[in-house]
Amino acid sequence: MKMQRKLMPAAALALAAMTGAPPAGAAEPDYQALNTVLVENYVLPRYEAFAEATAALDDALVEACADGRPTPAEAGAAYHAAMDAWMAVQHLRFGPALLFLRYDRLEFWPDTRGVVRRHLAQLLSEQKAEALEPQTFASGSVAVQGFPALERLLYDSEPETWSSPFGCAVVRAIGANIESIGAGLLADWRDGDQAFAQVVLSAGDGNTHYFDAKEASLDFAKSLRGALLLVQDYKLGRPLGKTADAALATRAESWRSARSLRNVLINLTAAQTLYQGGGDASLSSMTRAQPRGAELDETVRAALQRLIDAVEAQPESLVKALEAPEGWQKLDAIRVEARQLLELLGGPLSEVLGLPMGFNSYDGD
Amino acid sequence: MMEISRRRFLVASAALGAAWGLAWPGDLRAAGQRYFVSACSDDAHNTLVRVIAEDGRVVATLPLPDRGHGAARRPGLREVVAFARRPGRFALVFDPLSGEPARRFDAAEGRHFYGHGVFSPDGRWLFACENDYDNARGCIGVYDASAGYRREAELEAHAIGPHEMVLLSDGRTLAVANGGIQTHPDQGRKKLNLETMQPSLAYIDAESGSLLHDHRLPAVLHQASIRHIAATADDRIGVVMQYEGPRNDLVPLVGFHHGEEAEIALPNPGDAVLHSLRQYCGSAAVDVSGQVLAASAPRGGVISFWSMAERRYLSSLALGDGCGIAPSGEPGGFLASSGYGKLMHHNALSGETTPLGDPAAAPVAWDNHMLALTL
Repeated sequence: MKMQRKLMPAAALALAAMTGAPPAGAAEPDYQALNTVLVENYVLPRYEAFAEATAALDDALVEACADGRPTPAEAGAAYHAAMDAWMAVQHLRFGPALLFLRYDRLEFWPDTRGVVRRHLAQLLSEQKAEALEPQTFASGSVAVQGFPALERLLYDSEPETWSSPFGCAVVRAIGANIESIGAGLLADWRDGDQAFAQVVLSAGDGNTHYFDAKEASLDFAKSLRGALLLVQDYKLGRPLGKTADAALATRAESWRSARSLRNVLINLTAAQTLYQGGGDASLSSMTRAQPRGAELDETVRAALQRLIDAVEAQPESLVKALEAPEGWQKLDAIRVEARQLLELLGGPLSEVLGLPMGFNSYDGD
Repeated sequence: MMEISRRRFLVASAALGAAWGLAWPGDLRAAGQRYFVSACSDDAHNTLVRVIAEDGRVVATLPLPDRGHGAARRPGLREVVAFARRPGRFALVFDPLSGEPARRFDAAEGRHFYGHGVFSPDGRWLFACENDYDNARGCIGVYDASAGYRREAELEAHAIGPHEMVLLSDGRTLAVANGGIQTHPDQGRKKLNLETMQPSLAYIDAESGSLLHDHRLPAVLHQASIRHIAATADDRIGVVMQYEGPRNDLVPLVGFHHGEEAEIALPNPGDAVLHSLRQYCGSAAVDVSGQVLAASAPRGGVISFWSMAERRYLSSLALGDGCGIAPSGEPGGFLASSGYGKLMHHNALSGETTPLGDPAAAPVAWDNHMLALTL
């Protein structure tokens, strides 16, 4: 918007008349090619990795429970690997991720009313074996089914949790449940006639999910913005608060396993790869091909890299990062940078790509 | 696609001039200055309502408690009511020229606004589209503006989801676009009855609340939510729809109705135009001469223009995420706004487009609706 006002009136008119249409001389964005590259090189490998990591976690939890109490030393590596894989797909909130409450069942967060603690305590105290039967468990409270409950059991449990075999039975139920969700996500994306990959790839002809290829590309664009919004608003915004005095590290995601900022780093890296990882068919190259796109693309790439560098320079634990001198200020600066990037994505980048991902009248009424 | 529409546009505008011979009634430019009111959002995500002059100059910007939607002008006074976007419950009353803080009133217990309303011609009664959500029932709240917007009565909308309405020239018949979609604030904006929805265009007597007559779409189009409505001075109506059916259907999204005609006329502008609208029209407006209906399609990034008399498609203007649309003071003229902050004047008769703006004002992303008023 600011750029337009600097143009001469005639140029501004031409620009205005072309908004929303492929401008003369610029390539019509090839949404179909973008979707193909992203499904094959981005989405499917990530869900494959997630399915593998959750299967490995399930195995590790069974093994770690052999002595009645799983410790971080026994199961921590598998837990972290599964969380890493989850963070790499957490922003893909469309298609199979929306089915069967998978998203909330994997990670009920933010948990503003302490539901995970209460429901887990209730489950542990009632000791009903039938509650852990896979179907029953999967259709029960989402709060005890996923990573936050497992994290509490591994890193922040009461000693009496392990005084009976039931504690480990819960751990195994969570492991099997997460594994089943990971397998389901991959299968729904990849396998069979109804595979969501095919739905996205065939969007160009129109199908019951997508009006056309552009509409499918919009889901990817929204996922890009979603990753940044998760980081800015939830993962940094919630623990940091408005001022340093208002900071509360225990509002961070995964603070018990000391990996809040590792989560952020993986989210940001996933966003960067989503934006520019596709070579010639990427959101980045599509942006460059549009008028005034080259400068915008440079700005977005630089901002993503600055964010990643800044988070990499921090410890993985947000608790530790806040304890460091000027810790709050450094994290707040990352949050501000993320917010500025969000403005860029929701405004100029949306407009140049023809993919409205932020505040718009599109999501209107 | 857009090249085609531009060519079509030239053909269409030539035909317009020939067919109509520039015959519009009398002096349409009412005395006074024309202003436009629209909800919007600034760079810091503050939700606002902004008043602009016809040249785009910002006259006033007021904060809103949350995202706004439509607005209504109180006849005879410098007073505008801006409504919350559903499922919001606030309405703000303000003088569009003074910039003084607004007064607020809220929807009744168990009701939320849909975001649109209209005043009686004497400026006393405000009618607001509302959701009686616990009973899955659409209703119209009646507020006494002379008594601080006290809620005095409630009319039946005679369908689910009354979204926007106009008051006809008799001063007592409300034509209501009933979208047909059931929602409950406990479930956000989730659509609860897409399989069974029955949108309607209902003519309701504002004094008795009784249903005069209503009109539905053919059964195959029951998922076309009749959401927005505009009328000419002689009560010819344009309605615009949002389709909730399978994504690979191409269905008509613009309809016309007048008086007691049984059917809503649904002209087919051809697949290319339907495709360009992407199953979603966001806002409707009629120009001051009553000749042109503008139907914005933010998902398609076009504003489409239609002949009210001939009930056919005329032309389109490309405007990415363009949704707000309101009649300017000239025949065929509209102001159009976009979620990317663009503002322009377009005349559907001459084809002329002029970008507008206010370099001195903070940029905003415009929300769905623009209200035109003359003060």
